[in-house]
Formats: sequence, structure tokens, C-alpha cells
Amino acid sequence: MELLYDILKAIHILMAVLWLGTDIGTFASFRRMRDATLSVSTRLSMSHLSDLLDMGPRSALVILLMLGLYMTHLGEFGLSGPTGSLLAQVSALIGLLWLAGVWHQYWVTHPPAGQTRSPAHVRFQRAFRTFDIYWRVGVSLALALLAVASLAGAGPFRSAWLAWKLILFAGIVACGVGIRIVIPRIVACMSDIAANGSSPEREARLTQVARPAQMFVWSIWLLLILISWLAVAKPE
Amino acid sequence: MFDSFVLLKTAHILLLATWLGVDIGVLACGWLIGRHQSSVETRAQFARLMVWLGLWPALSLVLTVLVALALVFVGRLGFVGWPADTTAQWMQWLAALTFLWLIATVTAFALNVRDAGVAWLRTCQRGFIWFDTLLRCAVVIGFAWLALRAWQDETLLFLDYLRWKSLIFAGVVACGLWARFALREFLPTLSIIAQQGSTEELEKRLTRQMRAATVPMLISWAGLVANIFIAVIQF
Repeated sequence: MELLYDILKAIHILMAVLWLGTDIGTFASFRRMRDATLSVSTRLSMSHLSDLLDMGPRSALVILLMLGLYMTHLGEFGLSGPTGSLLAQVSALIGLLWLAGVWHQYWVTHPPAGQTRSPAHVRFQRAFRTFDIYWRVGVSLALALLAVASLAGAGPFRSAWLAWKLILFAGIVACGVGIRIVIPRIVACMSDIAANGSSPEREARLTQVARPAQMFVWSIWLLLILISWLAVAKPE
Repeated sequence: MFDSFVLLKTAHILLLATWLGVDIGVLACGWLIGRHQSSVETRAQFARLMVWLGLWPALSLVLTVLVALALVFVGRLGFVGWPADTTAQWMQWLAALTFLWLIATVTAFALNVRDAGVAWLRTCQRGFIWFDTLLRCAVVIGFAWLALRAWQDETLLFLDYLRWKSLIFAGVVACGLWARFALREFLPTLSIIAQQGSTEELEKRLTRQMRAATVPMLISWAGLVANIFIAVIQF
């Protein structure tokens, strides 16, 4: 059991590493996508790279949450007893389905050049996108509430540092919701530029809609750094 | 809570993110540069992005050397055979060298971005590549020596898993040198394509070089992942 916990912990660290690292690549390519001095085709190529690298943070968020809950049970930091065990297993199963949905989303929105995905897949993704946003809001609220309750002595998590980690993680999920709300506007602005060419007004609109996304990304990085410190320091 | 060991350990983990995580972006850019269907401008932009992202693993390597050795020193995990004052002095020298190395790396990057066509800039860049390569070789030899010597003299590194980590780290840095060697003609080849147009031979050369660099990059990632597992499991 101890070895299983250690293996999950190593994967947990690896996911955090992949998240922050690939997010830097995502952010850098996203900034180049906004560079008005470049041709539209180059900017679209940068957008594709940004989307590809963004699958790192998108996947890591789900995997980290799954592993975190399972490790909480295994490490006896909370979610104890048969109910806790069942909850950890159910959350792992839901996480796998969520992860599949996230990758399906990428597969549907990024078909090979000149091809489109079948209408059934596109319809499913439209529904999934809406569900995903509400689901993230629910997860964020649930994590924050359970963590606050645990700090007050009435929640499922025994350690204060873990409760704080979950509060910060809830903040990350909330920032992710913010990004998801902003992304369609950025895509719309880029589509406008691709279809009608660059103009100062269109570029200004793109900069304006992209600004909140940058703030969310910086917030996520700061929260991840704080979470890493909490995980190492484990203050009680 | 805020003691130096905790802060160093946190930094050690975050440096892995800026190394391994960002390296994925570097590799992706490398392969996208090789797509001959893309315009020269697009490929040149991927090259610029590749160089910019490549700065992160380079800086992470330099800082990891200092942070890892400082962790051993502060955590009393080794170096106890020598007087504490001497070790502290060595750590200060290492910190100064790290600072110099960081400045040189960032300066070389800035010069590279400004203009590669000016003669004195090219000389500076060549000088830096030699300086950087020599230091990386020293890191490979130093960490491999530390690991192998520690199996005979326990006071160097008390714990077995740290010796393995040290040995693997030496291998990771060596793989970085191998990848750099494999890619030495990569950007110049792209420059030729930009100036003279694409030919089948040039495109093949580009792909061949990227393929040759991918192998050591993947091995170095495997090494970094192995080091995470070793650090956690501490066998």
C-alpha cells in the first residue's frame, strides 16, 4: 500500500511539472498568435501549437484531482473508511470519463486539414462544453466548501495543509472556468482577423478579450507555486 | 515552514517544471519547423519560439545544480566528511559561478535574438557555446564522480537513492549535450532554406537532425522522470 502511495505521489509531482511547464509553452505560443506583425497563417499555426500544448494543463488538472483524492484516502489524510474508499474510487472513474471528454474535445476541434468530424461528435462536444463549464464550477465550489468545513473541524480532510491545498486548487479550477468562458471570444476575434484581415480595431478587440485570459493564467501559475510549497512544507 | 530546506525543495520541484515541461514545447516546435508545407515565416517563428522556450531548460539546468547541492548541504544529506566552513565556502563559490553562468546564458540569448549577422556578436555566441559546453561537461563529470565516489565514501552522500539521482542527473545533462550536438546544423539549415528556398535534400537534412536530437531528448526526459520516482520512493 505504501509503494502504491509513493508511485501515485511521483505521478502527482510529474503532473504538476507537466502542467506548469507546458503552460509556459502554451502562453508563449498564445502571445505569438496575438502578434499583429505576423501573417494570419503563422498566427493560426501558433494557435494550433498553443492548443496542442494546452492539453498538458487540461489533462494534468483532471489527473491531479483524481490522484489527490485517492492519495488522501491511501495516506489517511481524510476520506477514511469504506465510504472514503468508495468515494475515492468513484472520483477516479469520473475523472477518467472527464479526461476522455477533454481529449475528445481536442480531437473534434482539431481535425486534419480539409477534414471535419461527424455531426454526432460535434453535437456531443457542444453539449460537453456546456456541461464541462458547469461541472468545473460545481467541482470548484465543492472542493472549497469541503476544505473550509475541514478547517472548521467538520469536513472530510484531517490535515490543515491539505485543506488549504484544496482551497487553492478550487481557485485554479475557477480560473480554468474563466479561461473557458474567454476562449470562444478569442477564437471569434481570430476568425474575424483570418476572414477579413488584420486592422487596428480587430487587433485591439483581440488584445482586449485576451487580457482576462492572461490574468487567469498568471493566477494559475501563482496558485500552483503556492500549492507546491504547501505540499513540501505541510504546515499544520 | 519557511526554512531553507523547504524553500530549496520547492524550488527543486518547480525547476523540474521549467525544464521537463517546457522541453515538450521545444520538441514540438522542432518538429513543426520540419513541416515543409508551412511558410518560411511560420517556420522562422517556430524557430524563434523554440530558442525562447529552450532558454527555460537551460536556466533550469544551471539552477538545479546549485539547488540540488545546496539541498544536500542544508539537509545534511552528505558532504559531512569535510569541515562545515570549507563546504559553506565551496557553496558560495558555486553560487557565484551559477550567477555568472545564468548571466552568460541570458546575455547569449539576448544577443542571439538581436542579430546573428554581426561579426562580433557571432564571436560572443561562439565563445558562450564553448563556455556553456565546458561547464555542462564539468557537471556531467562532477555528478557522475560524486555518485560513484559516494558508493565508496558514504560521507559524500549518505543515501543510496541520492547517489542514483546524481548518476542519472549526469546522464540527463550528457543527453542534453548529445541533443545540442545533433542540432548544431539545424537552425543554419533552416536559414539556408529561408534564403535559397526549400529543396528535398535540405528538408531531409532538417528532418534527419531533428530525429537525431529527439532520441537524447526522450532519454533525458526518462531520466528526469526516473529521478522523480527515485526521490519519492527513496529505495
